[in-house]
Amino acid sequence: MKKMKWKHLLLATGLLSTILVGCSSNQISEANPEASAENKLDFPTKSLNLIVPFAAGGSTDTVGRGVAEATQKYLGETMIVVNRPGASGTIGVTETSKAQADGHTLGLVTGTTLAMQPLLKELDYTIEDFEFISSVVYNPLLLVVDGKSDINSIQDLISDSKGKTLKVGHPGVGTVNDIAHAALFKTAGIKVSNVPFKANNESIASIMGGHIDIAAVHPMESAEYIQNGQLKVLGIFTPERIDLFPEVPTIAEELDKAGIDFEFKDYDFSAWYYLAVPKDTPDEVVTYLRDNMKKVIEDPGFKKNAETLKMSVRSIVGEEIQTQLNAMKEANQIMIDKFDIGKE
Amino acid sequence: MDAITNLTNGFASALSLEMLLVCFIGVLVGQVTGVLPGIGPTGAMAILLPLSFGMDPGAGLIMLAGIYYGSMYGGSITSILVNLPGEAASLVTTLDGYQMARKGRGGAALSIAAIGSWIAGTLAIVGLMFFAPVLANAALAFGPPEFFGLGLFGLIVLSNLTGGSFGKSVLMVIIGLMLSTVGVDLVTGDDRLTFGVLELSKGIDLVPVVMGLFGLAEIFSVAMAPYQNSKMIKVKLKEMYPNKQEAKRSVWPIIRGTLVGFPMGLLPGPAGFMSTLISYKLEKQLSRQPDEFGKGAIEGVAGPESANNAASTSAMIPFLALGFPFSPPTALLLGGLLVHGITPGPMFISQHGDLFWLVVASMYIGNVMLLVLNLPLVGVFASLTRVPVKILMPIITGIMFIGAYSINNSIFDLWIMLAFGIAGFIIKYCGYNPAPLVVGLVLGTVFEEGLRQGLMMTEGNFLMFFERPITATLLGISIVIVILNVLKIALPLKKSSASNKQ
Repeated sequence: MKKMKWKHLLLATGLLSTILVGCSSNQISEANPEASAENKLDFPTKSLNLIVPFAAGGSTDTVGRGVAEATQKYLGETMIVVNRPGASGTIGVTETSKAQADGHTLGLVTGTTLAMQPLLKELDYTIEDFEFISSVVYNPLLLVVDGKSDINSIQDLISDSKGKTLKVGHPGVGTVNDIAHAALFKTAGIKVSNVPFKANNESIASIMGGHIDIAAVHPMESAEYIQNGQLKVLGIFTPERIDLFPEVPTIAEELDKAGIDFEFKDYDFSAWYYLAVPKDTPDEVVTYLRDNMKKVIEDPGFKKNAETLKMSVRSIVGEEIQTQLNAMKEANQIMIDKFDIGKE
Repeated sequence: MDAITNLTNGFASALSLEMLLVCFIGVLVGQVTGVLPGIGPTGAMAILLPLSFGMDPGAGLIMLAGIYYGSMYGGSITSILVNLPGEAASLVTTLDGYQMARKGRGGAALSIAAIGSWIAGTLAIVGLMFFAPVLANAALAFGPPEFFGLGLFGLIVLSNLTGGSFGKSVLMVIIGLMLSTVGVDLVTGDDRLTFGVLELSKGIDLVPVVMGLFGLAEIFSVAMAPYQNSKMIKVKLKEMYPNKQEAKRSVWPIIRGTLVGFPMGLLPGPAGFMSTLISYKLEKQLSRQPDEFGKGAIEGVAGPESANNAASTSAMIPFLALGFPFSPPTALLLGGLLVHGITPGPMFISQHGDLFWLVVASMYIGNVMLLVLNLPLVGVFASLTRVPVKILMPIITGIMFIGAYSINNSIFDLWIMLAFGIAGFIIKYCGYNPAPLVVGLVLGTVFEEGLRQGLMMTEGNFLMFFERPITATLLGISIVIVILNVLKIALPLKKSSASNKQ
């Protein structure tokens, strides 16, 4: 009997290791002849992995899958999307920072995971642990209320919410939404109660159901409801108006009309997505990836995808990203201290 | 009628060779993922999602939706035959399904599960077809306080799901509730009970826990048990299908299961799983032979298996009519549509009517395919039990590891599964039933989130919960149940032995 049991255990372990090896192995397919002709670099030698730090089906995942699909065309290798969700994206980003630095594992990292989360809790990575390939898209925030609401502008909101507590849909401490809410409501002197939700679409459902009053959400999640009048936009959290919503005023414009100067009017409260590799990746590989990812981002198919997702493509490459992230981090620290973010 | 014309058009396009083929691929993959323990519809859909990019939007949606509702059919097979839930939503099916199989009625249980699934799925599509917009908007009335009410009601009603000792069940529920608190705090963002392990901050997932407690633990028990090849149940061919009495006893449970599952599917959260628990409890409560439950009552298979199919179909309603993917599989359906530049939402049915009716028609067809796939194959599936344990169990173990890994691509989840496998083995050895632990784990999250969100909404005034009709009703019923049970124990009118019942 005892022997039998061990046999089972051995078999199970054997199977498990086969599976694990199977998961990490990659089939080698032919490299793009054109790519190898212009560059003697022996890369990529196998399929690539793209770590997406959020669950399959979400907005970040959709961006990642768009990148993976377009990449094939330029690198001649398949790119496999690996979802590693959890802990506001920090699990997947940690994994990216620790991946083998040969360029075959890339990560889709976000502005908040790099420039906000490390300020709020201890994490195993910093901005310096990555080499940045390229920015991918950015996803602005719109301030929305119920379509049936009497509030038509931020001025209405300010005068209407005197002596009241506004119920705000809040998708988690340290998200862009969190920073945006804090900056707006504290600047305008509006008292709020943050009702936590796990995702923006739950906030939207709650606004439409009359359970909460207001939330900052991304266009991808809300455009449909704005179009048919179930939601109303009060403003956009970007420094300037954007092409997707030319008629929507910026938050700073609106606050200005109400006679309030918005200290953070130059800050872009958008979700930013970047492609990154671990910092020890060889320079030639990084350069190669930068050159090709630039083509991926400018690919018409990819651009069209981003458009349907109501996201804007903006190409920033390499070192500039580092500078942008560090500036973001600095501003975030100021806002954390000023508005007590994460300390309620 | 308008709907009929639209549906006819839908059928016309859904019956084309290409659509039939993708529909068949979808339901077949769904059926298989359902059968394989641990591998769920979410994982299978994520893998096939890129494939749908190359198809036209309708074909992609048909295939992915097929995986989703197809998996609800397959889940019962492993539950009934090997006492391992093929899917979290088939967990309760193990309670009576496996017992039926041990009595040689496995074929009957499989057939009833398939027929119940088909009836529930088809009725739910009728609901989807006629009432999608109305129902979707009604679901919006459910805000955080309502979920709190639902969570509390669920905890009170379901805590003693499997019967047996009340104290033991409550202990299991409490452990489940405690486990549900692991992870990032929803309000403050602080890590709770993670002991500095980053992976724990995402909380403990349902699938590794279910696979550990019920899958690995069962495998450990089999491995430890004295070796005997003949232990597995043999099903005789003529006993493959339900007899008259079993069929008669299943009619109402199937209808009630549908009625429970359908509204549950409209709501966010683990709807499919919860609907099976409620249906099981309901059947046990209504049964004239409640003692039979846990020992092979056909109602305990018919009800829950119908409920999870109704729920998985009605989950399409908030997704298609409002654009809200309330469950992970529907989130993947959303991803599949977005890539084609189609956003499901309030305008989906009017703007993409052809697509909506195509999907509806394909779901009718897919359900028929699944019934055809399941019924004649009952014998084939049942013959699984003739495979020697020493071959079957290692294969299943391997599949469970793949399944638990595939949810988050996380090795850590495998450790969780192993830990719960050992825990489950010990729990069973000590005479406890781990099912209430899972109830606590699932409902704990619903309960806590609802309460804390609700308190933020009312600025800490709990009494305002009673101003909301749905919440007030749920809380009222919960309070009455508790009072009645306390009275039952406290009142000396009945003999003191009454407290031992329930």
